Amino acid sequence: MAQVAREELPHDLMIWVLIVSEMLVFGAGLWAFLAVRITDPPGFAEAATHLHPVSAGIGTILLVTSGLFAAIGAQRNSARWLLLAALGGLAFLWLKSHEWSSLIAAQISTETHPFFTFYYLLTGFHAAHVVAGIVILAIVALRRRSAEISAGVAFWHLVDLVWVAVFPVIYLMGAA
Amino acid sequence: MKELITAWLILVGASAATTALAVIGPETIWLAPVLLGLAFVKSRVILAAYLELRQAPRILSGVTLAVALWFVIAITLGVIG
Repeated sequence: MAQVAREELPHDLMIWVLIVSEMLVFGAGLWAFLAVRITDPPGFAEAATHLHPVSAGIGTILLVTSGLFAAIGAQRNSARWLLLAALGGLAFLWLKSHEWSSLIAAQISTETHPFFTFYYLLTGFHAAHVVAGIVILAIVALRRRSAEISAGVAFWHLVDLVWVAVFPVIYLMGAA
Repeated sequence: MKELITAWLILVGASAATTALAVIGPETIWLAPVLLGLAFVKSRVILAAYLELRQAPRILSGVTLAVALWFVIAITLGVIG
């Protein structure tokens, strides 16, 4: 019987279970957003004008750059690169907090329109993952154990992976 | 390292193109598929290069297929809306 070569997963299996679970949660949330949008395209388009796509685009570039730093940090087992990646996450959160505060100042809440219910839910849940990722990156940078760095950095890439879907769906397609 | 830098350049380029298209691009029915198509490219790059699935090509193919299906449904919902 011919033997099929078994492929080894990079990173720990449990981190992949987490990555797939999170992708399913965010994926379902974004599908729900798009499905509800069908019921009120003009309302969603109007609501999306309150967001700043260019700022969100800059945030995306910050996150993918931070992902590069994290990947280099994992390759070199370097605390400096991992902390730089965490700094990129902090810069992303700063942009996000600025966006939320301007919306709150305009008295836009989760109750304003279904668009904002999904917006706060999905961007808030993503931001919670960014906060967790920053803490994890800081911890693995200090401990410098390669297995922990590998898992921590994989979690950080999950944050990137989810955002590249959240960004166009919430910020750009609402207005499109 | 070269692969990571290439991946990063693709990600930055695709993110900039996505933003530019949405802000100054023409409002056509093709906008949603193009924006989500670029997001799919970015997801594939993150899976292959950042998450290192290029080391396991068959697993990468399977995950890419699942992600592609997600994007097909998202594009369909986007076009209907």
